[in-house]
Amino acid sequence: MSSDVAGYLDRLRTHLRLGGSSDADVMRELAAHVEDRVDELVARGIPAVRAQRMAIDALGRPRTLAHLLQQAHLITPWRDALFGAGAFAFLAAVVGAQLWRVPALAVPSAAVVVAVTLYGLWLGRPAWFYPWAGVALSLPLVAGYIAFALLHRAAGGAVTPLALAGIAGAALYFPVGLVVVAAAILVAVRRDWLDASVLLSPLPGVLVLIIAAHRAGGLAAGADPVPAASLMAFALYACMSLATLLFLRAPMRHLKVMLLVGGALVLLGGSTMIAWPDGGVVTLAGRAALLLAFLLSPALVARHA
Amino acid sequence: MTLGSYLTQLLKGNTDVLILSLLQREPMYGHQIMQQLEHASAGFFQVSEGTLYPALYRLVREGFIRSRWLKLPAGPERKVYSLTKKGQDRLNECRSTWDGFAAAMNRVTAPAG
Repeated sequence: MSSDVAGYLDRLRTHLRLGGSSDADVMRELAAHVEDRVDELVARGIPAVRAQRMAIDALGRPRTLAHLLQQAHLITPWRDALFGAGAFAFLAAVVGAQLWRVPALAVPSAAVVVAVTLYGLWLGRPAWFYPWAGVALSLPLVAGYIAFALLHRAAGGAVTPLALAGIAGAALYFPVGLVVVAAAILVAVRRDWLDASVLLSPLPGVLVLIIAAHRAGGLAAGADPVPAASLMAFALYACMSLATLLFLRAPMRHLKVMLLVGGALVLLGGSTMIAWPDGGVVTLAGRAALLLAFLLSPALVARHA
Repeated sequence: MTLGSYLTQLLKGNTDVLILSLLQREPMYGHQIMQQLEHASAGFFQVSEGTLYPALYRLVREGFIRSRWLKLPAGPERKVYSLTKKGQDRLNECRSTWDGFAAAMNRVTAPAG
């Protein structure tokens, strides 16, 4: 590679702010493009030095090209962004109306989430897929809780087929759940760790709601509903739906990170009010650190992938 | 509007369809797409890199195409783009719209008589 080409690519690199492995990927692709273009021009009889100059000139100003690439790489179209944000709006409706307490409504709701996720997978994982996949990943969490609840119920009563199903579910839950989440993160990180973070974002909220529901009596027959927690969870997921819409439309990478962290803080505030209203400052700080580490962990995975 | 800018606007509005159409034939990498576009249009369509690569990244982001690095038979690795099911559906819609548009344009712009 000539010094002209290397100099151009260096200047482009300084303006490119896609983050993760995307910068390196784009640079590699453009370097290969210049190489192909120079070979083509040389084959037409143009001297190598002039061919390199022409190949660079065709790319335009580094700052302009970087800006165009950044816009194309980061901004999701409105329709897709709204559909992606719809995952959290759907979750807000399910928890706000406590549909999850009625199996006849909970099962079709879960089926919708799984169907939309599989459709996104089939389409080649567009940007709207990740919020839906995140909500779909929370379903094993709910299923795991149900399995443990059935196990708990079985311990206090007779062993029934339902209780045995609970025991089997509990035994399988941790390894299978961890493998599924880890595999999903690894796949998402290949494209962008921010997508993987979006994938993880519904899980803490669902966990908090499960804790609140368990404290209110869980699956026990005749347990009081948890209207305050449901209302708070509804508000929480409505906020996350808005944050996801802004995230998918954000044209700059640092804005996306800020929205992710902002969403985590809203989640922290909401979850504290739902499940731990009387916690101290130290506990709150610890929980904040844990939450941010969880949501930003894909960045670490991407760095070492 | 000059004829040059008229053609530029036409090309700009149809870059996505042209890329999707080429990728329907076979998976290709960026430089290959530029070459094929020029070749298939007998030199009429010449898309710059500043138009092509942002369009490719946007199409990937929207799920119309996907990309992966592949080792070419000639040796080097290239980032090869291929059409997704969503991209195929979009292409079919665009073709249908284009047919209607072109027919209407021809009817209107045809010389009278």
